[in-house]
Amino acid sequence: MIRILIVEDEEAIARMIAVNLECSGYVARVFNDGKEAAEALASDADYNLALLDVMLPGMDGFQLFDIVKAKGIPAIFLTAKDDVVSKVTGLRGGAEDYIVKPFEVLELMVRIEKVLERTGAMKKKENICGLDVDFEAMQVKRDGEELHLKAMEFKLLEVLIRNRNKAVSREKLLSLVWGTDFMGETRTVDVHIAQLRKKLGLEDAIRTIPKFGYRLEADD
Amino acid sequence: MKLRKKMILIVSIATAVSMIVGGFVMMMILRRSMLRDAYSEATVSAVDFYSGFERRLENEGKDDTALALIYKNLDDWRNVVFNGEQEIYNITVFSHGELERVAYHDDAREKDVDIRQELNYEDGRYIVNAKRVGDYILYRLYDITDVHSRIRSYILAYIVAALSMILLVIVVSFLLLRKVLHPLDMLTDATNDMANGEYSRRVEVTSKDELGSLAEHFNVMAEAVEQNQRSLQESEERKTLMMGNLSHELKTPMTAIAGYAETLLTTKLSEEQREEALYYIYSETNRLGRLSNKMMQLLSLSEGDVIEKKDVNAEELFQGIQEAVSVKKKEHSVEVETSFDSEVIRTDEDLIRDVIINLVDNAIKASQPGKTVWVAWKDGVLSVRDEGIGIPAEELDTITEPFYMVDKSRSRKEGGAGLGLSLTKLILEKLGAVMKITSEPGKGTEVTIRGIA
Repeated sequence: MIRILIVEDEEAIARMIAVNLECSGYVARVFNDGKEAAEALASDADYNLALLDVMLPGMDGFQLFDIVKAKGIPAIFLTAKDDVVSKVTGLRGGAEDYIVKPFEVLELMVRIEKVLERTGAMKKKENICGLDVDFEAMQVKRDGEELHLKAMEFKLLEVLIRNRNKAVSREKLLSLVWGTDFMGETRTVDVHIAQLRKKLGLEDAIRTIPKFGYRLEADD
Repeated sequence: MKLRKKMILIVSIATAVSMIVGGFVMMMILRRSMLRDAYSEATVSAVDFYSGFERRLENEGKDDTALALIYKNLDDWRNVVFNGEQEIYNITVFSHGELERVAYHDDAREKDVDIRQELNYEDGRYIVNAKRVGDYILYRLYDITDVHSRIRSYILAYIVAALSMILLVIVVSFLLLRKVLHPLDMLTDATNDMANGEYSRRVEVTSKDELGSLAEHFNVMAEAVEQNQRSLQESEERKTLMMGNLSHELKTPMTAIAGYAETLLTTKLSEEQREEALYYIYSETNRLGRLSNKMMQLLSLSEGDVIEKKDVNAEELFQGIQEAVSVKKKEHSVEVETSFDSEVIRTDEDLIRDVIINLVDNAIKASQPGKTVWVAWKDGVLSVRDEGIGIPAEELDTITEPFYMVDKSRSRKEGGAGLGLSLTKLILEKLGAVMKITSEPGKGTEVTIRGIA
């Protein structure tokens, strides 16, 4: 279970991030006050990642970050200040990343995944829709029987699993799976999705969102 | 061309012209006097010859030939004797015809020397004096080569002197002008510096002439420019700060709205989560609306129409305020007490209502439940007092800046955008009133306003 700490004084934004994280299978805990978060960390520091706002009541994000860092929790700064100084302060202090408000939810999710992958907290295996997926071995099994996927098909499956219950646009899939340099058409995505559905029997689980993209639906 | 060059050129041309004209006149005079001297000398030497010849002619008798007379001791290459038909004695290179053409008979000294003709032979120049003695015509040559060469050398010396004079004038005027025009150079430097944005630049005033007063005026102008520039820059900075704050204030609700919309679009949510998302979109949109209203008010106030003061019934005014804040004071369980000592206040009702509601609103937000906020109109002074959290001393100056909040998260939860006090300040400026805030953290705040009526 991946636990993520959210410290953001704007209730609306904090809840929004939490809802999105929960939909993707993470456990999120929200604090609206820096001091409260610091106090809670003293007794429970079992988090895989912290999302910290810079401007916080009680204790500012940079001060809180020192505590978070001491507990060995990687951190991403959420900041409305897009001035260079605070970015530099955050990154030089050892923050993993920062994201400037307003941000896209999917972008935040992708950055969270990247940090979790780097720190090795990401789940290596996932059991979803009756499939056993091993991300390291790039293997997919159903009832112990291996199903063969091409490399790109597997990567596409991985992105869909990581963002389960969340629609990802064709363009986003293209850039996340094939890379930003890839000059392919969104048609490529459709072809690969069709392959995944057929090979893995995910005709119902992978839903087409009209004029947008695809969503892997799974009940945890 | 630079002014200094121009002035030097003008001075040198003037000097040169006066040198040429003056030199010409001087040389003419000199030449004339030298020639006159030469002529008189020529006449003197001619008279010697003539009288000698005359004397001999009388003494020796007419039998002797003129030639013999000459030979006795008037034998001189400059003397010529002509007897009316032929030359008796002429050892010069000139013929009698030539001599006769140029010769002058008059020994008067005043006669104009310029029209007297000369004879030239090789480099030599001669004048010829003539006199009739008896049947003879006597000529006497006088060498004035030397006179002419002296005149020439004078002219040459004068030209050299004139040229060095002009040179001297150039050098001296260069040095003098540098000193005289130095303030101009300084002014040029200063204007350049100012053009490059160094508005604090001033010129040192040293002279009391026109340049000095120009420099003085320049300094006055620079002072005005600097002040203007400073106030422009300050207002620009305020605007930039305000815009920065505004965009900051916009970003948070925008992030929430966009984020929830994106979540609704892309994520499979439970009914409860959907409702939550929609609620946040709604409330954050309202927040944007409030922010935009406040901004509009701020802008329209900044533009400035003249306000009209009318008699306002104090009782009605304070009653209206009680009604306006009734919801807020219930929410916070704070009491609001109003008092006034005159029935009528002469002011702009809408604006002063905004001001009081704003201040009372702030006071309620700062107060703990059970406390009281006092609003009083006494002796022409309006005051709003609370026993709330107070304002730190170092923040008292900045709280009227747009978007400023003492406790950010608290104020946001109350739905404020941080524009209230800056609006209040603008309104009061319009009314010609002065606001004073005294506060002690933990004890409370009192805002007093003078001059609204």
